[in-house]
Amino acid sequence: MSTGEGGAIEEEYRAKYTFDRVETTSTIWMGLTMTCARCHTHKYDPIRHSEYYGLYALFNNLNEPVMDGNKPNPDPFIKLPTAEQSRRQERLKKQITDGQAKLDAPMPELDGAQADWQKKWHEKLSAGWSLLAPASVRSTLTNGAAFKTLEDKSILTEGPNPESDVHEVTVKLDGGSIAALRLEALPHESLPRNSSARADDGMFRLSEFEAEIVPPPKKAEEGKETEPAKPKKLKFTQSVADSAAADRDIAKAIDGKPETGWQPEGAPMTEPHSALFLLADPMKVQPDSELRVRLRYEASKSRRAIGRFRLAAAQNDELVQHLNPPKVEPWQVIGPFKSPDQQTGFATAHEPEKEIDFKKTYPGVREEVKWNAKADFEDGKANLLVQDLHGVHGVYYLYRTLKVPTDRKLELSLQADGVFKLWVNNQIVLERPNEAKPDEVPAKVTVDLKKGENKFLVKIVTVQGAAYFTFHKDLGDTESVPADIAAVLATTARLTGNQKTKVRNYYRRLNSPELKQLFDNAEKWREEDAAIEKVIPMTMVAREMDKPRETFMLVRGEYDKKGEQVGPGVPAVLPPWPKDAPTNRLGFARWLLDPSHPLTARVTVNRFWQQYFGVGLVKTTEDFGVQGEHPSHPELLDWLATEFSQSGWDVKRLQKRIVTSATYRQSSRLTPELLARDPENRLLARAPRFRVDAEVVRDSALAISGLLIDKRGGRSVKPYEPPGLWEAVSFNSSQKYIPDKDEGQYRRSLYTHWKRQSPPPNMLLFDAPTREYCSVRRSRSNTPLQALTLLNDPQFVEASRAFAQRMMLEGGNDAKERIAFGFRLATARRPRADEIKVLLDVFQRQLADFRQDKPAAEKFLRVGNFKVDSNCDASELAAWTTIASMLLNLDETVTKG
Amino acid sequence: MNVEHLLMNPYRERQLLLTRRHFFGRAAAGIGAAALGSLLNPNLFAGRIGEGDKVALGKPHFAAKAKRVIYLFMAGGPAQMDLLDYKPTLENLHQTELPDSVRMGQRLTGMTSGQKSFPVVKSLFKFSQHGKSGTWISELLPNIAGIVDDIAIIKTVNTEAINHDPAITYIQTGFQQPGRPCMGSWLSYGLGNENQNLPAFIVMISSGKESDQPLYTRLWGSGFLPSEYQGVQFRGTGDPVLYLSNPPGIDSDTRRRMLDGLAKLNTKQYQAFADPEINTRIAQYEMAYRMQTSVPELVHVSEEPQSVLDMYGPDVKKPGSFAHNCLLARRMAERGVRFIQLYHRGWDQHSNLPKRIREQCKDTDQPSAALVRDLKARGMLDDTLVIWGGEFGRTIYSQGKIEKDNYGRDHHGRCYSIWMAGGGIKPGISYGQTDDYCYNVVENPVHIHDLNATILHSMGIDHEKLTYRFQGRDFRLTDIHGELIKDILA
Repeated sequence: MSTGEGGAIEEEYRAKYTFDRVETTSTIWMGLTMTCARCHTHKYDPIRHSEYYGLYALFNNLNEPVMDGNKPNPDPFIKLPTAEQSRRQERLKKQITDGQAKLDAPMPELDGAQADWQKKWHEKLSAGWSLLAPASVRSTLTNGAAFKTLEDKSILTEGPNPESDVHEVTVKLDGGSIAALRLEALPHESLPRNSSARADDGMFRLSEFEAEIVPPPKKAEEGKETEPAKPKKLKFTQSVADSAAADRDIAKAIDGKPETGWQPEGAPMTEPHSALFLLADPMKVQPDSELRVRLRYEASKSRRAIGRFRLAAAQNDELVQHLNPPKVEPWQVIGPFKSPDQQTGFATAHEPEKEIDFKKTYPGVREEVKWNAKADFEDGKANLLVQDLHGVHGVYYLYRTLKVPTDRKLELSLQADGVFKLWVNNQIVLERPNEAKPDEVPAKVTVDLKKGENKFLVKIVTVQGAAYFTFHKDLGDTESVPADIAAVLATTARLTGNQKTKVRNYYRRLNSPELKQLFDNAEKWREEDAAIEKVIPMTMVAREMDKPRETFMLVRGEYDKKGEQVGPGVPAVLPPWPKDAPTNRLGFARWLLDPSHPLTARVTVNRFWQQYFGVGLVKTTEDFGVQGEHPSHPELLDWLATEFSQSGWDVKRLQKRIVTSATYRQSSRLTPELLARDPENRLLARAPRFRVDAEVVRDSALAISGLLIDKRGGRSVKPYEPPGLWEAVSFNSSQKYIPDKDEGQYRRSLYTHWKRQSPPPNMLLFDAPTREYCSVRRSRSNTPLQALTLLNDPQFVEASRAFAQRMMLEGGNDAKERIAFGFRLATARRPRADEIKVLLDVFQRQLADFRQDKPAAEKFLRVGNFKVDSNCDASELAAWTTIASMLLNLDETVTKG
Repeated sequence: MNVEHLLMNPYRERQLLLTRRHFFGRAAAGIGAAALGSLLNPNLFAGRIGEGDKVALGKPHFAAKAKRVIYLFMAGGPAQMDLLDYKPTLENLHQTELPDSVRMGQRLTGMTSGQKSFPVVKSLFKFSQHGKSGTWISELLPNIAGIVDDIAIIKTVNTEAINHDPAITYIQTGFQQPGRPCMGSWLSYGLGNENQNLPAFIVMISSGKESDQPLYTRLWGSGFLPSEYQGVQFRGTGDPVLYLSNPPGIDSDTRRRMLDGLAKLNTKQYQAFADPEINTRIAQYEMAYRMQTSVPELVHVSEEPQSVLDMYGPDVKKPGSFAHNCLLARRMAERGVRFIQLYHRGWDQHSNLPKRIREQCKDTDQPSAALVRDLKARGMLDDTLVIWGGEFGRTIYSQGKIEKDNYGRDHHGRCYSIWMAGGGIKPGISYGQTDDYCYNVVENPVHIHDLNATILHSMGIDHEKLTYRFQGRDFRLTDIHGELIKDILA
């Protein structure tokens, strides 16, 4: 993951990342302090400044962007589908291709019928337009264009052509209703290159199309002035045009952004073009109202106004009806209602199933719930219903209405996390009582809608974590055309490009059951393919560039101060590059593993030794150079290293060799004499004894308590962490840590999600490095903050409870037996009688206290998610939990040896 | 390797052990902190037997002026020309193009390198003179203006870094890339701790209305120094120190009982294994117990008299606010915490500077001045070094269009302003001169290495002598740089 900081200079960061790669590699495999040679020849070891850049050259060839844009899996990466997934995808892709070919194939009979149908609809839809003769036209700028109205009611622009301009047209309207406005751009011989635009290259760009209705002024009262009427802005919810250049679609003319605009294809634009602007609802207009239309050309400074245009309004009733898309209200959502589990929630009918009353509130999971409108829930998209309910199930209801002008059928699909039901007009039409499989496709159903208002109610019962749902509706039928198709057909009977495909698909679906089936199948296959794609694991890889980058020495390590050019290579003091090894990282790897290489095996063996003994044979694990320490036992190191490399680098064999050795199996008991003579145990007169690593502290507690889930692999998990840590440091306080449920709490620490900016605090407190830079040696501190963690961190309190339950259920019936059982689990030895007595005394006092104060016991037992066996008495369990906590806090428990 | 000097006489060790056992045997509950503390190594928080390397030095190289540091870090880069560096010449230069002769090839961040023009934008804010020293301060800082005679303003601090992560890492650790210890860790290692019951190095974070640029745990991390020198974050919500409070249902008596039992068992283990780490662990548990009292006592600001609370401003009662943190800083200073660092985020005003800088100053002006006044009133300013500043400054040219009352500024490292007070710093002075464009240093540059060297000097540390062997060489906070700025030392 790279920097994404605004202002970061790419070249600088390329150098930094390459430094990191060289130095990390050197530390790990060669134990050399290469960092020192970044700026100058190494002061102590025989590594030249140029030789540093010889290694640098090996890592300077990666074919990747320096800044990855915070993508989860930036290029280059590889996908790793299973054989099964590959097979299925291949089959699906073939089906899709074959199917699509059929769907795209010319079909003379069908195509002929389509042409007729298109012609018919085009005539119908272009009939109801009333051309608007302007009462006045002006430019809002002082030095703007001048205008001339032509006989066909089109307006021709002439005169000055400023960089940007706004043209305002005022039209007198008859009464009635308006459903839409149409703008035509028409060519003219007076315009550059016989186009419809004023720019020299014959292209226009309409940045915004605005319109407002000014009602007739109210009659003035006696003695008072006529109040000018307030204009009412027309709000366009849809726009359609017959053509659009890339990224200049018609929607950009009503997006409110002056810098974007509509620009049809054509350079120059010698064809007529038209665009429709549809209102959400037909607007009633009083007679003698005025329509004011503004055409804004502010997206570029290149004088891109339309040279000749004409306006029309859809006022004819039939046309209005055709252009009137079905009204969909936003989803109203309520929830979560409580539910002990998914199935009960699924079956229980809460009040919204009987009656929808937006004013009512109901008791929910944690607080009262009421209906909320969610305008941002879009159809066809995955919408987030709830982020997390922290281990609880929730029942949600979503309600909306849909008004249609005539009875018709409607195809729906619904997908959700959780189980769900769907009612349309109080009839249940879809049910999914089981959780979806990861690659399942959305459920589909066709329902009958009646003219007027129709009701949709969805019920979703969530499990845990985030829940999404996707709702899709398809309003195709034969008696009408959907508004967007209607809009296209209204503008032209001659279709091109995307619009041609869109209309053809629509027609074929509607008129050929066979093709409809094929369309549906193709959609289903695409969804299946996408669902499989989503679950295929990906991993980042390194990839070389085709042509190697040139590497230069960097004077004093400064990225912008290039010195001599160097090629890839290794320091001369070490063995030469193996013959026949390629001059790249693969060759470098072979060089590292060459039997004559004096470092790799010794450095690696030393690191494993450090892991077991707490300190390496060479104490300075990261430095085998002259400034580093000499090995305490050079012959031993060399022998182990030689065995290791000659065994074929068999790590397991090396581990076995170490742990079965007499040295390792000594006792770790100290005497004052031993301590005085050899405090760090360099002479190995005893076994090692040191506090275990951070990850092991936590893993041990989980293993001892029985909570540890011994599963391998999978996504990173998020155990509990105190809230607010990510917000305190993240950019704009935008990151929030959301702990996992269930399993995520109890996996090995190896799997914990690691945010380097703010790593898990209980790990840092036990000396885990932040992982922002290579660290091969950890310090081993002993602080009161560690004591606080083991005593009070909810993870450890929860583990204590689970541990206590084990003691109660598995440790026998006698208190002493249970103590011995627990002690043995924690320390791997049996306690002595005096040790049992200490714990027994505490237990008895605690038991008495918790018996007297049961609420305290219950509160104590509620920390963390782990649910206790209902047979355990609360006071007793609480008392055992304090014992368990003590056992987890023993020095012996967190210390190896 | 000679390690004997690091150990206590083993017979003395045994004697202590006997005394401890005897003492535990008798004590039922709640042993006085002092009694236990006196038996054990008083510098447990700070020093421990290092990995064969140096143990905490425990004392300064020479007589220190300051015993502690309170570093008010303004994260994001406050705009020096709008706050502390008065440039009347900007009236005439306003909206003129920044000349190449001034810019001299300064590299630009990716955020303004695409700009076609670099128009100078004067400050929207008025400056006036204050105090006996007649220092010019912006109207944005009325309270700091009221303490000008107690502070030294340095106008020529400079850094090579031009982006936040490298710049903030650079000023905290002396290097632009992660991996090195921060100043607080160095001082903790070098000087140890004055108070056994609190950490030596505490960090508190607050942010303005917009927190913008992020921070990183490693900014108060110990790098390659032993990790007990890392800063401890005191938080505004929940437990001030993580995991401080006992879980619900566990009261102080229960906790005491458990700790006594643990101590008994651990002591038995020590008798069998004689590992000194066991005793250290016993002591740490006692320390943890004491922190459960000392920390809540520390953060209990309501006990402060109303006149003090009023001095810090209306936010002082809001935990997590800068004002609250300033008051806590004073209380920590009183209790011997060595290095207290406050971060206030939100100074990165690339756009909407006038509005946002007003908000930032509203958050920080009164409490910063109150802190200095408060320390002075208690006779603590002389031995407390207070520092106010960020990781770099801002450009004189506008980022984006200049509007009548709106502009933005990009990052600028060649010169920026900070102020310091107390701890052996000359009060009532301004040090260093920048050019008319507030772009270059013309007199007395103070590189951040120099600044850090001077801060260490105040604390009685020779920055060249406080070193740690790592990767074969002796590292120090100031890397291989840093000159003392003698003229600002009293």
